[in-house]
Amino acid sequence: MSTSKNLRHSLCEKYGVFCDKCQYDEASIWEKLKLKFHLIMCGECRKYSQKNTQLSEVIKNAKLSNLTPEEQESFKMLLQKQMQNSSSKNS
Amino acid sequence: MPPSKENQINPEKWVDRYSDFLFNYTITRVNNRDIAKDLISETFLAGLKSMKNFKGEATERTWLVSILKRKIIDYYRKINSNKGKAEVKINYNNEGDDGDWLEEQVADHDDVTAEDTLMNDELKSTIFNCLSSLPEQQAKVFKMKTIDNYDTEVICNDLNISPSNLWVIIHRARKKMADCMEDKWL
Repeated sequence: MSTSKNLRHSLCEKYGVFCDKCQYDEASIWEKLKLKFHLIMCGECRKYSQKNTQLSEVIKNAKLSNLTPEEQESFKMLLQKQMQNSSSKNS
Repeated sequence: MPPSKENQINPEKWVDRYSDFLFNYTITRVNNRDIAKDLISETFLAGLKSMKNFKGEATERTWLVSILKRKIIDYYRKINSNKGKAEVKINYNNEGDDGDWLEEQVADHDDVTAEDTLMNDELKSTIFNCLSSLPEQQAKVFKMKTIDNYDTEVICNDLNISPSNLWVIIHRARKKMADCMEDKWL
C-alpha cells in the first residue's frame, strides 16, 4: 500500500514539474502531451494544476517589481559601512 | 527588556529579507525608482541608529515598515515645502455652470484606483509573507524565475545548479506558495 502511495507521489512530482514548466512556457510538446494525459487520470494533479495557474495569475496581477542584484548589493555595502563606522566609534 | 527570540534584530539579513518587500511598498507610494531606493537606504540607516530602541514587540519587518512610513511622509512634506505651499486651483471653466461646479469638479474619480491600490498592497504583502516562509534557496530561485523573469540558463549558471535541479526547487517552492496563498488569498 505504502509503496504504491510512494510511486504515485513521485509520479505526481514529475508531472508537477511539467505543470510548472507550462507556467513559464518552457515545457516541450511531448511534456505537455504527457501532462494532459496524466491530468485526465489524476485528480490530485488536476487540483495542483489549477492552483498553480491561479498562483501565476495572482503574481502577475500583483505587478511586483524587484530590486536588481546590484541595487541590493549597494544597500548591503551601505549597511556594512555604517555598521563598521558605528562599531569603530564605540571601541 | 531584551527582544524576544523570534523578534530579534539582524541588520546583516535586512537586505535579503526585506529589501524587495520595502521596495514594492515604497514604489507604489512614490512612483519613482530612485526616490524609492533613497528612502529605503534612509530607512535602513535610521533602523541601524535606533536599533537599541527596538523592543521586540513587533516583528523586524513591521518595525522597518513603520520607519519607512515616516520617511515617506517626510519626503512628501519636503517636496511640499519646496513648492512653498500646497496649491489647490479650481478653474471656473464655463461661466454658465455656476452652482454645479463643486460637485462636478471635486468628485473623487480616484475611488476605484485607491481601492485597487489597497487590494494590491494586501496581495503583495501576502506574497512576500509566503515567500518569507520558504527555505532561503527556494525563495531565491522562485523570485529570480517568477518575479525577475530570468532565463532558466542564467539562474542555473548563477547558482551553479542543473536545470532539472532548478525545476525540482521551483516545484517545491510553487507547491508551498500555492498552499500558503490559498490559505490567505485565493
